[in-house]
Amino acid sequence: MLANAFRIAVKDLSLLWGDKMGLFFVLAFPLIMALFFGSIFGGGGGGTTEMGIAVVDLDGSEASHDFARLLDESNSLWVWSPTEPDTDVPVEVTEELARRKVRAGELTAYIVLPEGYGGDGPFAGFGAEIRVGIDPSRQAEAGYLRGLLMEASFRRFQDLFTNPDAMAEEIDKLITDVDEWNVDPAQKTVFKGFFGAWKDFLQKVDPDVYGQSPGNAGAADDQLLDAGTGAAEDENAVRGGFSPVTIEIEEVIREGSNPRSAFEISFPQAMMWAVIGTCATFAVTLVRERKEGTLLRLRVAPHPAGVILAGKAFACFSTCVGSLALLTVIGHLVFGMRIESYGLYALGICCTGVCFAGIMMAITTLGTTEEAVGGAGWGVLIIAAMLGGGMVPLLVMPQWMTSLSMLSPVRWAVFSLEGAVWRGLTFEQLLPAYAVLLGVGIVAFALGVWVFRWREG
Amino acid sequence: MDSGIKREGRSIVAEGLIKRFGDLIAVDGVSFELRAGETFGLLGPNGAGKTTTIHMLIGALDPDGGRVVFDGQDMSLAIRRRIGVAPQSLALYENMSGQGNLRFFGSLYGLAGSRLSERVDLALELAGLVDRRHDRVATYSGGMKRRLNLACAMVHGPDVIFLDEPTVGVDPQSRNHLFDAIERLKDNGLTVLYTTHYMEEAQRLCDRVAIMDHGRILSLDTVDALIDAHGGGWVIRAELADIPPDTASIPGTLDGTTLRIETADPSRTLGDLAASGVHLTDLSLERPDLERVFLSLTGRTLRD
Repeated sequence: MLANAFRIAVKDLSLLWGDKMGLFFVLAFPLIMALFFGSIFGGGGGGTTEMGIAVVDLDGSEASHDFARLLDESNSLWVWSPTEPDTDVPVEVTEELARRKVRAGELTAYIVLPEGYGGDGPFAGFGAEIRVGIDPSRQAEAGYLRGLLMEASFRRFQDLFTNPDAMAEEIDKLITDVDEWNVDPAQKTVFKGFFGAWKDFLQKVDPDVYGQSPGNAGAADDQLLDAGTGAAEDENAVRGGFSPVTIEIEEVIREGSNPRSAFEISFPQAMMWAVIGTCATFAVTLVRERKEGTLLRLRVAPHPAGVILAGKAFACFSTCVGSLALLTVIGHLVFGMRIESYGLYALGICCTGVCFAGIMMAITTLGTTEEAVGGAGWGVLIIAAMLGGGMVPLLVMPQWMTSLSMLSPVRWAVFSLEGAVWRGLTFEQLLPAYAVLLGVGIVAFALGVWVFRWREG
Repeated sequence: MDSGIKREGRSIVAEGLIKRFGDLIAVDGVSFELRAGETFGLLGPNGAGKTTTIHMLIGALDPDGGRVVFDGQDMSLAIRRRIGVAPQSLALYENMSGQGNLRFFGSLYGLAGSRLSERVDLALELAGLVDRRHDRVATYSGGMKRRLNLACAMVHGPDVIFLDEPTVGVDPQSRNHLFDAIERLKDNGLTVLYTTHYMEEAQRLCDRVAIMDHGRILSLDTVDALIDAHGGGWVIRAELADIPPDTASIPGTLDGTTLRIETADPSRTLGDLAASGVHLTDLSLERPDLERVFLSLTGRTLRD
């Protein structure tokens, strides 16, 4: 008996393999969805437009304050500024506190401006070493942040050079400092003459004309940003090897409960499209067999009718598990999706397979023609996907939608996979999801079998 | 060809089968016995209830009344193993090869390994598809699909085979090929139940025929006995050169110059016609057939 169920399943799988459109919906379409949603939610980003960071200012100089202010002014960054409870009294951000926040996933990264960052002289902060603490899986954010830090550094010096008064003050300091330089007195005279001429130029030049000179054009901001983001690939090299700061990355392993990248959200989400595609494809095959007469041959073969349905369900289950496994491998190897518990993840995949194999059986009862079952099946499944996180990630659902999603098996399937990918849930915490998936699968399968027997009898 | 099937004396009895679909009574108290080794025909127009009857016989439909008995037993998985079905629709997987279809259906009956390969080869040979065995069924002609449909019904070596309108939509050449294949199965002693609305097929292949209409069996007997009972006499049609002055001496009925005579002894009638002195320009002799039997029983032709 079971051998015949297996033979029917193998036959269905071989027919699916020859069905290009079916394969598209089972494998290619979910992958496209994963890439699409992964991209619109920021690729490697955590799904927010502003990157939350902490600035640990160990220098406390005017230059370091200035640099922190520039970071805060960036549209791409949100600088954490903690205060005492119920007051506006700021709390000092220590390196330990910042590291804890990043490890907990509450901030994307922290930036340490080391002691001596400001230094002496007019070019304080120039060439300083900045440390960045970030989770190693956030490669994209790390690269982007590196670019933003470069941009802020450039902007500090740009402000200095485009403000004649500020620059003149710095030149006065330089003229004073020259006396202390350990160089030949004749050379000191040459330097003082050069600095004096420079100051004289700054006092005479029209500030508007100076500000619009090619080297200080407003477009420089964008160019710098472009150059800065490009630094993600060229490490600290910007513009032919010139770099205003040196950035050192410190790995801070996150403790979980937040997705490390948008792909950890988009892949479990896209996997639902794989099971939905599988479900709809196999639901139609049973009706097609009825229409083409092969179901009659299967029904008069020496096995109970349940064997035919078991074979169909097994083929559907195998395809669900196979497609989810394939997407998992792609998500893991290509997009860095990390699985925290392989055992729970496998259990989630199996329960999802059982659930949707059962739903497939129920869908076959929605009509007696391929068109009716295909249309109604996709309709029902798309609504389930909409409610259950197949389109809008569970993470960003409003409360009312989260409550509504409980009605959709897609929600429980996504939750069971996310629980093992990034939510860091235990077996006990995931047990309700497994129970719902298995329960829905068994009830739907029983309903499908009952209606099938009634209709065929 | 030796189908390699061991024959056993088995009979199938349909006892007062009834099937309703809503208000429609598709089969209304059908009873007959299918004897071991015979070819039994269900002859009737479309919608007569032939397919529904077959579906009840093979266990695909539960009757609303009556029962089917196989050698005194109700339908069981063991009995299913001994029957084969060629449905009216082409019950084939178009995206699989002919051999793939045969192997799959054979495997459902427990065949495996060399035994399965032998049976598949035999079925392909019967269907004349050895050269196309690896081609996808979708590339087959209608006639080839019909032959494969028949081959799938007998690949597992059944005792009884149910053929539901096996020649629908095929060209004359493929039809002859199918007839040859069925006659080979008959020669090997297979019990065959054959439904058709082509009276010439029933006449050629069937030992006994049940005439069905509106879900009922109107008459059941051998072809000759049915014709004797319901077919009437031979029919002579003659075209006269001119209408004779005394038509009373001419047998039969005259319509213009066309003369129609129904007779049990055509030789004697033709002699009488010659003796009457009429001049004939054309003459034809019609043997009574199942079409005439059906017409006699229902007042309609099979194609109506």
